[in-house]
Amino acid sequence: MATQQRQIVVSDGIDCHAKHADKNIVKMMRRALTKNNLADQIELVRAGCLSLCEFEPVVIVYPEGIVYSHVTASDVEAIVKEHLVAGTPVERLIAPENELRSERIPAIDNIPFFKDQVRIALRNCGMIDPENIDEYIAVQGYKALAKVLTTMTPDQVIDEMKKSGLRGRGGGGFPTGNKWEFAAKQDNTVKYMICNGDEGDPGAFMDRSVLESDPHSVLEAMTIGGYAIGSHQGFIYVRAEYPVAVERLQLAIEQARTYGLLGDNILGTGFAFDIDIRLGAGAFVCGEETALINSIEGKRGMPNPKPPFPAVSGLWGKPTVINNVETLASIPPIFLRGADWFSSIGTERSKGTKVFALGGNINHTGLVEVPMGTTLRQVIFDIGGGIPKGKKFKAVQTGGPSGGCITEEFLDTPIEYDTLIKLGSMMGSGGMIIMDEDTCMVDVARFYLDFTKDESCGKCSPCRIGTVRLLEILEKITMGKGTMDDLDALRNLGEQIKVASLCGLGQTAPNPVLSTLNYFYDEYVAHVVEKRCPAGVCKSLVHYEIDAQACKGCGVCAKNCPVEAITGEIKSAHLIDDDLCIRCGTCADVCNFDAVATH
Amino acid sequence: MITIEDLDIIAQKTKDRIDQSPARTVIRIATCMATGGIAAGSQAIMDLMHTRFDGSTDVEVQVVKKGCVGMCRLDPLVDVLVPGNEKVTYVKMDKERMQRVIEEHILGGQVVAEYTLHVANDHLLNDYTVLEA
Ligand SMILES: Cc1cc2nc3c(=O)[nH]c(=O)nc-3n(C[C@H](O)[C@H](O)[C@H](O)COP(=O)(O)O)c2cc1C
Ligand code: SF4
Ligand code: FES
Repeated sequence: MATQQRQIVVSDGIDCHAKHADKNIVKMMRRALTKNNLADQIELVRAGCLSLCEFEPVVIVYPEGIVYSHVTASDVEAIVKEHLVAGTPVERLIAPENELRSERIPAIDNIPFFKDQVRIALRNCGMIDPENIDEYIAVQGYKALAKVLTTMTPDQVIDEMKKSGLRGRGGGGFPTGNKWEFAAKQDNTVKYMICNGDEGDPGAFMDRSVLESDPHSVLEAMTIGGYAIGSHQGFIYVRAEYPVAVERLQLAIEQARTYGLLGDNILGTGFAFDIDIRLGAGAFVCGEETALINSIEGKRGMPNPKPPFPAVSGLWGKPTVINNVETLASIPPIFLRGADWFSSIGTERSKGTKVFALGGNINHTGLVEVPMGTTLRQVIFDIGGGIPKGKKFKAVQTGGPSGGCITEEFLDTPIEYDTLIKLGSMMGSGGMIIMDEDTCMVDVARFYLDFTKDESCGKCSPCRIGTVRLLEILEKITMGKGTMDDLDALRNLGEQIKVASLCGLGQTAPNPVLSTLNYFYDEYVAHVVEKRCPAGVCKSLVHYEIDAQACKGCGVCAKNCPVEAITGEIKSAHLIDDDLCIRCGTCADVCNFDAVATH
Repeated sequence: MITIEDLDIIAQKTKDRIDQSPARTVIRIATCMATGGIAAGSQAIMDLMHTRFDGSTDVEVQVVKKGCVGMCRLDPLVDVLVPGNEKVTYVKMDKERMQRVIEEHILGGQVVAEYTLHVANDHLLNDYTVLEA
């Protein structure tokens, strides 16, 4: 049997500018290993930020996983001699107040990232083989459908859905049971059930994950919905940019048809339902339900005014229910475990769980599913592990391009549809972009507007023209050419776009601007009045200057400047010509004496 | 076409395959083959497993795809389920690491602890960028 390999991981904190950073620890360790003839047997790795900033420099010795913190030069000697050569961990260096033991965790479920999650929509994701229908059946798959078809009437199904309190996870938060009821009440022999798998919010990927990891749960839920509203045909609208999801869905549909779980006589009950896939080209607006319907019909993906709502007149004019992927994936457990179980999770007005895609400046990026009512702080700090590199939290953007940012003071807000709206943001599809202190909020607003301006379908002028005008003003501000009048113009224009646009895209597009204006007005003012970007992000407002005291005149900066904007004699202080400078930041990166300052 | 009774029969027959507990009877190796896993190179691991366990070995091994558990940044993730033992999840795997896991863990019975998650102070220590090796 092979012996476990020794490995030493050193994190010196240089990467994240920790206070006691000491670049020499790695060098000293390497030298000490060589001196003791260990260099060939031990793998030495210098790691970037481990988020242990307050303990750095850190040396971790594997396989025991012993963590030495605040390591000094003499500690390195001791670790090598006593631990690596003699085999006894240097207990005196593992002081109780900073004892940090690295634990090996074989079972992934035990780490904080998973411990606080409650997985309903994602229950099977990563647990079963998505390409094997038998494995889905083994986790009680299609049992909910069997129960619904054999023991419940369509009315009872709808009642159970209403009782569960499930609200749409695609953004609007409309109660799913009520939506089904509207469609069920329509007197029409042809109705449609659509799964919205467009997922256009940049940063969100929970729907893709479900479609790739547990496609049968969506098929099962659509069939239950079809039975409830009296539909015999479903469509899954999924973007062509999700090839793995499309392939798995196709396979899942074929398997379900082979088993008779889709088709004319499902499970021998006489109920008929089938599902087909329709590919979208990946336009954000095609996630809007009426645009999606137009797209399926082969028309341009543009929204229609509502009413009529799709539940009354949808696909080809027939009553149509459109549900989001995550909404659907939450449905089978409701029928297996009961509406009471589901509604016991979450809060008064938001039941069940919600999946969030954590991204941006956060340690544990990824997908998490938590009960409604969990606070933003719990999600970002307990589950998400907080902000990397010891930086400070600045804001979190929820609801993607339709949402807004939420600041530190509101971190203890429980996550619910209504609380987020009150804060000027929204649940949206569940994208959560975390931003640290180095983020410029004007630039963030500009980023989202750049997105919505591109994605505006152009049908109505407030959105088509308004988003461009908003973006122009924001760009002007980031270039230091804005005025105080521009800030008023942003607000007025934003409010008007919201009320005058036809669909949800235009109605929410100004939110990132309005919410940053609301919470970070000072930052806008700094750009406009002082011509300064406090976070140092807006290139036109950043100036590089060499500190004549600190400059040793080595000339490295001048040699590396791509536009020759730096002049100076060797051994005397250098100078940057601000007019020539393109703000690439190279000089600051290469200077060995920290003599280049930005402001 | 299957009936409701068949659902139970299939479930019963497949129960062992999906059992994540030590009670299972066959070795299972599940590699994340959702988009994040594929992007991080999990296809190479699947290929290796299929070649290595092509049916000619004495041990029976289920080589399967699995979906996304949401830890995509640590992909490729590989679950190794050995009867009688708790599930082990390996992170940031590649072909060479998998080779070692096959020999030492799957065939040798010894978990390769370096490739599992390690945590200190609630921080995941695996999740670093290597600046110098
Ligand atoms: C611009 C825009 C984009 C949208 N994109 C999506 C999307 O990608 N996926 C989705 O499920 N819903 C999206 N919606 C919401 C849908 O119009 C619809 O409300 C939803 O699919 C209904 O399903 P639910 O009730 O299960 O949430 C979008 C809405 C708007 C206005
Ligand atoms: S609001 Fe924008 S996206 Fe919606 S219909 Fe009008 S132009 Fe198109
Ligand atoms: S894709 Fe592998 S964990 Fe998400």
